[in-house]
Amino acid sequence: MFQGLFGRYRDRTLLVFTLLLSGGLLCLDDGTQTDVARGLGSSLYLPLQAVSQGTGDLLLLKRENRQLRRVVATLALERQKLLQYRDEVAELRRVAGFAAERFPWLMPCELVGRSPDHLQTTLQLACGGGESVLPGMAVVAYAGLVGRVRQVNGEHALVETLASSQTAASVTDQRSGVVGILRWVQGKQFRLDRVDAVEDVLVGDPLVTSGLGEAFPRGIPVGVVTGVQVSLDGLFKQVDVRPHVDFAGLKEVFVVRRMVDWQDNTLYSPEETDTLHRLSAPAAAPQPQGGGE
Amino acid sequence: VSFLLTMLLGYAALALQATWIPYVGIAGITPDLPLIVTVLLALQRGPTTGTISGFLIGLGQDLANPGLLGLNALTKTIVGYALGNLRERFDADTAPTCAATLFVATLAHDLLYLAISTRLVLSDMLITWATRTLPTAVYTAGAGTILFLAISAFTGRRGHRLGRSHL
Repeated sequence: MFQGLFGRYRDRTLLVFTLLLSGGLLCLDDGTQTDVARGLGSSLYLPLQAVSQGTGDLLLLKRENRQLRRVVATLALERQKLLQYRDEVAELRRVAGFAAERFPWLMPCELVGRSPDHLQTTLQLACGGGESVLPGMAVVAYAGLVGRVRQVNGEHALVETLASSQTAASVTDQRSGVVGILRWVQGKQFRLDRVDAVEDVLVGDPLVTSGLGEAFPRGIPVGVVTGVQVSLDGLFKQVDVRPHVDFAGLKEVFVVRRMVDWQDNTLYSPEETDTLHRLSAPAAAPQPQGGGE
Repeated sequence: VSFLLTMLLGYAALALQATWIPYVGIAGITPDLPLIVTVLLALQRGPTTGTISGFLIGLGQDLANPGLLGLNALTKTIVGYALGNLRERFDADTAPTCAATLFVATLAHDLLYLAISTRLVLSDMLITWATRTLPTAVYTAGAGTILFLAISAFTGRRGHRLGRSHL
C-alpha cells in the first residue's frame, strides 16, 4: 500500500504528510513547542550562533580598532606635552621639598556580573586572587572612578561602586581646591557633603579624588557639579554631582593594582612601550628632554 | 548526494539569514533567503524536492521562533509543492519570470503566514502585508534573481536546470 502511495501519488502523499506534521507542530501547546524547538534548535543553531557572534564581534572590533588608533595617536601627542609639564612640576616639587607624584598602575578586568538594586550596585569582575587583586583596591573606568574592591573569591572580585550607600569618596574641586565627601543619593544622583556655605563651588566644576584618607588615589576624575544650593540652616552648601561613569553601561574596568612613581617610567611594559611607539610614531612629536619613554 | 546537497543549500540559507542577511537590510527590510532557496529548488527539481526542502527549511526557521512552531514549515511546504507542480506550465528559466515568480511566491507565502498567525484578523493582516511583505517581496525578487543569474553563470548555460532530483 505504502509503495503504491509513494509510487503513484508520491508528491501528494508527501504533501499531506508534511502538512499534517506542520499542523501537528502548530497545534502543540506553547510549552511543548518551546521544548521541541529547544531540543532540535540547539543543535541546529549552535554553530550559527557561534558564527553570528563571531561576525558581530569582528565587525565591532574592526570599527573600535580604527577609532582607538586615532585616539592613541592623539593621546600620544597629548602625552608628549604632559611629560614636559610633568618634568617641570617634578622639578618644582623637588625644589619645594614635596614628595614625588605617583601614578596608578592599571590592570584591565572583564565585567562578568552586576547586581543593581535600590541600595547599592555591585559588580563582579573576572580577576581575583590569582592576579593579586586585593580588597580595598580602587577600580576605575575610562571615564573615571568606579568604586573599590570589597571582596575577592578565587578568580572573581566583587566591586562596590560609588552608587552604593556604603561607599563615600573624598573629592576635591579641581578649580577651587575645596574638599568634600561624595555620597550616593539615589539612581544617578550624588551629593557632596561637608562643604561650608562660604566655600567656592560652582556649577560645572570638575571633581577629582582628593587622596585624603587613602581610600582612593589622588587625581582620579569623579564627576561634575550640576547644582549648588545653600542648606536650610545656612551652614552648608548642598552640592549636586553627576558622575562621569555610567555605572549601568560599564563593560570593562581597571583595578588600580599599585601606585608607581610617575617619573620611573614603569607604567608600561617593554612590549606595551613598543606598541605605543609603533601606533603613535607617524603622529608623535619629538621627544621632550627628560620625557622618559 | 543530490538530497544531501539540497539539505546543505537549505542549511546555508538558514545560516546566511541568521548571520549576514541582517547587515544588508534596508530600513529593516531583508530578503527572505530561505524562501528564495525553496522557490529555486522547487522550480529546478519539481514538487517532491520543493515539498521536502520547503518543509525542512521552514522547520529550521521555526526552531528559532518556537511560538509558531510549524507555521513556516507549513507555508513553505505549500509554496514548494505548488511551484514544483506549476513549473511545467510556465518558463521560469529567464530572469524576468524568475523575478516575477519570486515576487508572487513571497506575497502568497506571507499572505498564508499572516492569515494563520493573525487568525484572519484582516486589519492586522493587511497592514503587515502592505508595509512589510510588499517591500520584502521586491527585495526578495531582486536578490533571488541575482542568485539565479549567478547559478546560471556558474553552470555555464542560460536557463540550465540544476538537475533532476533522484527522490
